[in-house]
Amino acid sequence: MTGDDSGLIDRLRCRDRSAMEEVVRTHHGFLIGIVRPLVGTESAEDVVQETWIKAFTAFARFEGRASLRTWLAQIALNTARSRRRSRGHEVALEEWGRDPGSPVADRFSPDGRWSDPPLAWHHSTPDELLTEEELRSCIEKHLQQLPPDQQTVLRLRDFEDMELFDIAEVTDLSEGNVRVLLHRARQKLHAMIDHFEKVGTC
Amino acid sequence: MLSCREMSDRASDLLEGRVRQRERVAARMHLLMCRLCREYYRQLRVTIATIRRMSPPHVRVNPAKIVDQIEDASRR
Repeated sequence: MTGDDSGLIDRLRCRDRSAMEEVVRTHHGFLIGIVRPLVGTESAEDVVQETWIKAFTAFARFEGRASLRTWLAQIALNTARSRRRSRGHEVALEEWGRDPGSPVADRFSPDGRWSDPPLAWHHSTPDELLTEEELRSCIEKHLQQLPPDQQTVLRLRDFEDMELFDIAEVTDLSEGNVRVLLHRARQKLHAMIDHFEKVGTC
Repeated sequence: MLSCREMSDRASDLLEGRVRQRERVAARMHLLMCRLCREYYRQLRVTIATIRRMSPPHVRVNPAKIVDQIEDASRR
């Protein structure tokens, strides 16, 4: 258990009101962000609410092997997945963790060399890219359009800086699987920026 | 020798140091000789840094209200 969490956990076990509010304040937005790709914006609040109820009854069993955030993420994603299942989305869930293949596969010739090689971008740093308001909203739009598994992995890694090992645990995927999904998500966003650099529109 | 296609598949792992030494050496060799893969790697590195720079969507949170709801639901 991390030092920051241990005192807080003790207070949560006693259902200390201010500790409960503190933990909600710290993690609620994060949990909403990771279940939204799975259940949509309307159900996200509901799923996280259910997550909190489960978590607050289970704090007694929290062993602190993972961080509090990781533990909450795991409960939230399990809740989101069973919500999806109960809504008859089984087919979509079978896709969870599937590698859709490389988004740049068609840019190579059969011998594995570039046939449609990368051209230099006008913007060469994140700062330059992000000052383009249209490009920023284009990235946000494409991020939301990624398949739920890729979106979840990308958020946990690149927004939350979670270790791949922990991401595998909370998403119920193998670490190898997580690596591939992370890379595919980034490759897709790269392709989107690349398109913007060539055409000038989203 | 790794092909350019294989290089594109390994980019995230290589940029974040998740490959064995032998493969890392092979990939570095490839990058030294291949201008096109260097450009793809440069762009992917900028892409990752850009994603990381973007803040997650803002969610308005009212902790007191949420805790009330949790307590209500647990009493039921």
